[in-house]
Amino acid sequence: MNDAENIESKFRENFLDFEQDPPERVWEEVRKTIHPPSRPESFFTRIVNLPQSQPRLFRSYMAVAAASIVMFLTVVYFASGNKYTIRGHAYAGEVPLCRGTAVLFQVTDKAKPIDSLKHCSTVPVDENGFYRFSKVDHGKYLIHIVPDWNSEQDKLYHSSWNDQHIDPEQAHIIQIESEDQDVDVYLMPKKENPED
Amino acid sequence: MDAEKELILHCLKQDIAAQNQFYRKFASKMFGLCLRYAGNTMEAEDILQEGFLRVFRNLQHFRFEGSLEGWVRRIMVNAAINYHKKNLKYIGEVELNDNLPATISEDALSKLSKEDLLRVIHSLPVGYRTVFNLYVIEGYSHREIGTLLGVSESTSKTQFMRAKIAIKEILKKTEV
Repeated sequence: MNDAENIESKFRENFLDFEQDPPERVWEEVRKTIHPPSRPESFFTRIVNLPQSQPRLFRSYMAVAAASIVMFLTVVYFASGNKYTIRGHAYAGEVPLCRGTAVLFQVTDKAKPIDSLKHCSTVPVDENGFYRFSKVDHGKYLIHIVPDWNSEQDKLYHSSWNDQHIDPEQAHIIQIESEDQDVDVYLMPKKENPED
Repeated sequence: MDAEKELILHCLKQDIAAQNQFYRKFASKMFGLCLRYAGNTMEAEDILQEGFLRVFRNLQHFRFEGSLEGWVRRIMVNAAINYHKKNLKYIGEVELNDNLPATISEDALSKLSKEDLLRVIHSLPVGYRTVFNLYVIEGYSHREIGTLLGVSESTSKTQFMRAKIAIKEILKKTEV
């Protein structure tokens, strides 16, 4: 083996697995660089940095928020679920009323009948005589149908209460308990000759 | 391999204890490497620190193909080269001195301790020292060294020859 090869093999032999313990300060510097000491943060900065600084806590907060939203929506859904629909057709004679107004009144238990009606809702009657009241609570109701003013049917028919009454005291009370109701109303005809 | 993988995963989660364990696993060997490339102990510490910062910053890129130690070692060598980049870019073609020093006796060579050899390495110019380490200890070819240092293959060969001559001169002086 020549000189050069001797030197090479000497260095290789000594340094291939050469180890030496470094001073502790090296690790301290590395640690401080990759984990810099935290400066006091504002509340807003802490919130914004939460996903990075405390991912587990952030995930917990997100889970609680999601559960709260789901619970809220569930409560809203079931609370609003106890509502019903009253729908039907208004007739002028044998033909559907062509446009008018349907008014829903709630019947409260008061001494005088006129005091016992409380206005709930007003909806249009369409050209097919159809009307619908939505989100109706439990209770007792009456419906009053009014034809469009000065229409042909208005000239021939009175505005009327369900099922076919001019006087609300005689109207049949609609009881809403646990299901929707279909109620048709027939307008009372005006007499041709008032004296008849 | 599973223990290493778990250690890496914990390091990636910024677990300080895991990072400390990772550091201690490789620190001694890497410091030994840094001492070979540096001109003195302070430089070696700086290279080691920079090397480990690069390791932790790039740990997510480790693909578990090949040894982790080999990967760390490559990063550390690059850190050492980068540390001396300013000086290394000036190495160029140098004409060989025909007046080569006399040979070193095998007996004299065998008496040299690790510390003696380290002192010899430290006294080399940075270009010679880097090429010598890359070729003799790391086992890179001159072509690979040229790519690493941004020089030609022939420049690497020349630097290596000059390194050996310089080492012989130093050893000859100490032998006397």
